[in-house]
Amino acid sequence: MTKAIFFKELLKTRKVFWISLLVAIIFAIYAIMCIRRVGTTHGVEHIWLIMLMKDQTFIDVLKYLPPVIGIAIGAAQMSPETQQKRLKLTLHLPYPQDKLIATMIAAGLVECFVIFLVQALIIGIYYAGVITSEMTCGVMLNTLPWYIAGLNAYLFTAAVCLEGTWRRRIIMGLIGAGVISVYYMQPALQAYNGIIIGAVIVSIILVLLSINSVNRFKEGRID
Amino acid sequence: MKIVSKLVLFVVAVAVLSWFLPWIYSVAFPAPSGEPFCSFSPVNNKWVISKSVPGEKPQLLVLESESAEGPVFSTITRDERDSLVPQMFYKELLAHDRLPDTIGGKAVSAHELRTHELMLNSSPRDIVKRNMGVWLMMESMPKRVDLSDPDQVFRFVPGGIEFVDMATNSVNKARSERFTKMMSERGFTFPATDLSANVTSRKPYDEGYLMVDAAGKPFHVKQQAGRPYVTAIEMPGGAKAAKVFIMEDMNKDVLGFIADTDNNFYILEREGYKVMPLPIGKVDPSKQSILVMGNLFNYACRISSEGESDWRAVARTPEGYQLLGAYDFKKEPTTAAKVADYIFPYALTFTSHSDSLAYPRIVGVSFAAIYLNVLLALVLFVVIRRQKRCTPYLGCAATLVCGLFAFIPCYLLKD
Repeated sequence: MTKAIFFKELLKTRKVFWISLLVAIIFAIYAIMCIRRVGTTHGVEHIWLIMLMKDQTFIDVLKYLPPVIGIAIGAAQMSPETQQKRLKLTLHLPYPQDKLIATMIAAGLVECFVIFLVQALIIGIYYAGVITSEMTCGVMLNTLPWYIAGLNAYLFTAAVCLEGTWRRRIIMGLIGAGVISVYYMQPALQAYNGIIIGAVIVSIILVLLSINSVNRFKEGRID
Repeated sequence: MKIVSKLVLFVVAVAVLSWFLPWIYSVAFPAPSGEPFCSFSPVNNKWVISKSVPGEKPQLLVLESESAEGPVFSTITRDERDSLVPQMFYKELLAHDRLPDTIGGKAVSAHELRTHELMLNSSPRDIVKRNMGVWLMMESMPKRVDLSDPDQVFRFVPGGIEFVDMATNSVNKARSERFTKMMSERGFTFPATDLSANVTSRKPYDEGYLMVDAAGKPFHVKQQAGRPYVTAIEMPGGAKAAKVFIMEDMNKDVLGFIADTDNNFYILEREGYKVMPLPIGKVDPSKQSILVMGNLFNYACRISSEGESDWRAVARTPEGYQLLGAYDFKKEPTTAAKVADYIFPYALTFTSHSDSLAYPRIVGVSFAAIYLNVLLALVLFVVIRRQKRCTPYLGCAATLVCGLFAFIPCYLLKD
């Protein structure tokens, strides 16, 4: 049953997944083209100098893409459940309710993770050939909060879409905006290194938001 | 699971509001800096203070004396200020033909005043931050007159230092071995715990790096014609260096400043690498901002932390550096800040003026907000009891502690 639910979710979001993956790859290639242009016009040394003297990573163009992808996948996966009134049917499946929702959320998280991983690998592999391993590691660590923000954006979108009342949707949307903005407060390099593990744990706990929304749906709290 | 999932939303809402409400309040009611700028006059040996508050006329004062009631100031004009602080306003004095040829018993010229200028400006934000683990190394003795941008970086590897060529991203083995050998011979314990350099070709000359090794000993390391120049620096009284600041100003008397592990502050003189203690009190560069303005006559130092700045003036004498004067300034909280103490029991922030890291921290804990907390808890109790949807005790307890931050989500999410 778990496999079937997982497959159902993947089928539901396949279009958005492939489009998001394509956009993520295009953004990664664009960032690499920008880095290559700097190297061609000013020399490879210039990339090092700017990175070490001005704390720049040349990949700021990717910064806000993960939350956008998270929102897109979350909306594509969960909004049909409430808009087309499928959630009631889904909840009637012979499967424990909390496990069912957790599996649905896991499917979305895996999709986000795959997209972010592909993008990070493209950037990481390119940078590994241009700069030292320490610098590549630093650049990749700097992108981690953005990807965690993307996962949080997905989780909040899923919870908002599964929620039955508009009042609660708006409140949760605002709370989500607040949580995501935390990951963009400090522009300094690797500023979030110390709280990465904590942020991952918080992200896992945020799965409960969707379970709460479904519980409320079952209690009949619908507009 | 039902209760836990409800609690998660509530806790996240409280956390977001704990950050958002104090932040939006501070944006709506910004506090003007109002911090004075001080210089020590070599003419009358008193502090000359410039105070400017936005919307008010700037004040120019001389600190006449310190009494039990507080400091006694006299107001001066701008021209008087220029004459009292010629080390800063010599260009103005020169333009109006008012620059004296002798100040404080010293013969002066505009050139001499200019070449003795020195400035160190350090902020904890620049110190408490993460770095890439590689550093740029300039050539201190370039073949041409002007300095050029570095083409090599270095990193510390177990038992040595390794240079990497930027153009090819490959290790320069010969240079790495030369530097490792020379540094080991000079007693450098790898790796360095602190490094200071001004990596830019827009400076008159390059002095490379001041480094603190793993044993707390400072070293001067630079690259001259591709070869290493390494000098060990002796700290007085066996002190261990914690933070170093290299200086490459026109004033070549001073090579840098050093803070030790006990937060004492030293000046590093270029001649003989002499480390001299500065009598300015304890200084913690990782928590306090440091401003040192040196000139022909004295060094005016400002050590500042949140809302406080301590000014000290010191001068070089044959016996060492001696304290000339002190002026401590404490910023009074604004009305908006006082009101905030009654509204917010605390604030959650993720960033700080004293570092470049992001992590949650509770600041500005105020017990004055308890009155509002109690009032809000009572309101919540009445509202929830009337609606009879859930028990009000948990929400009221949270409101007593977190005040407004818990009251809003309790009220909005009470269904």
